[in-house]
Amino acid sequence: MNYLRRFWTIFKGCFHESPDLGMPDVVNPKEPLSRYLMSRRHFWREKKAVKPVAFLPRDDNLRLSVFRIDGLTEGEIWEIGEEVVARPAHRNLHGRGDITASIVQTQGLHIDPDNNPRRHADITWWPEDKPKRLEIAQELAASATLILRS
Amino acid sequence: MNTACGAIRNEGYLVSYPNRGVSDDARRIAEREKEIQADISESVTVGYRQMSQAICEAFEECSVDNWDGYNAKAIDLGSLNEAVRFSQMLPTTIPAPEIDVDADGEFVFEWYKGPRRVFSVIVEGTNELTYAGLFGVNKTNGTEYFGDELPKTILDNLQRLLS
Repeated sequence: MNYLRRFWTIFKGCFHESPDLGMPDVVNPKEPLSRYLMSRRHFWREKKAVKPVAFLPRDDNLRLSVFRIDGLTEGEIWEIGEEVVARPAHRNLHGRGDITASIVQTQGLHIDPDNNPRRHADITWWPEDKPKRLEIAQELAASATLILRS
Repeated sequence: MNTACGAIRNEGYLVSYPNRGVSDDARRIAEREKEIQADISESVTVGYRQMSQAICEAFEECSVDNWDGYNAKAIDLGSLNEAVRFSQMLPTTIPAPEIDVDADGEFVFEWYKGPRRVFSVIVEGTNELTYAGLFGVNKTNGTEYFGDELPKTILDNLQRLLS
């Protein structure tokens, strides 16, 4: 019965939408996620690539902040980055690295959509082993698309 | 007459070994070695100056907390010292890496040949090097003790990436 209950919870989550956003509680593998980039050290402009360090969480807080951008226009995506991420941090927003949720999930990581602030999620379940984390960060960066703010 | 002659080693020219000689010849050789190192450290071709500049720039940019907007730690001074030592030990045959800083304030040396051809080394400031690499479909990761010379595993992985 337990597995049925668990299945039902996940199944229901796929269709249950948060009241204000229309975002399912469970992240669909096809969903795009954005990691906003506020340091020029996190991307190569000439190589049009995101650096692995952009996807490497802190040792003492193994959570990586991303935003769920499915269904948003480009303008809305940048607005979240500017209003919710860069301005409160007193940083300039240079660009973002977009990845699909499936890339994250195939690395054994979990996407925890806390919706605080809106559309925010943390990438969790990072391994304790730092070399392994670095390798995963390389994998995420290799699959990410760099989008610079024009 | 004596001539200073450098042994062919798989590491940088700026690495010094203790000279235990007490004769005039030994002293002259040690002086000559210092002169050669001074020349090389200024060389644009060899890349040490480029790496030193990159380390200085990273230090300036990342010396305060939250430099990345995600609460990254300021640069760790232990990592800074080791990063300088690491850069001096790199063989001249290896292209100069990108020098970055991670969210823990540790220096990261990165060689990038393409999205799935990358090798990174984190210098933690604890005599330990954390590394990982993607070589097409193959990948590797691990840690190595960082003592008086560059670990062979690091050099082997760099050769693998650059070959």
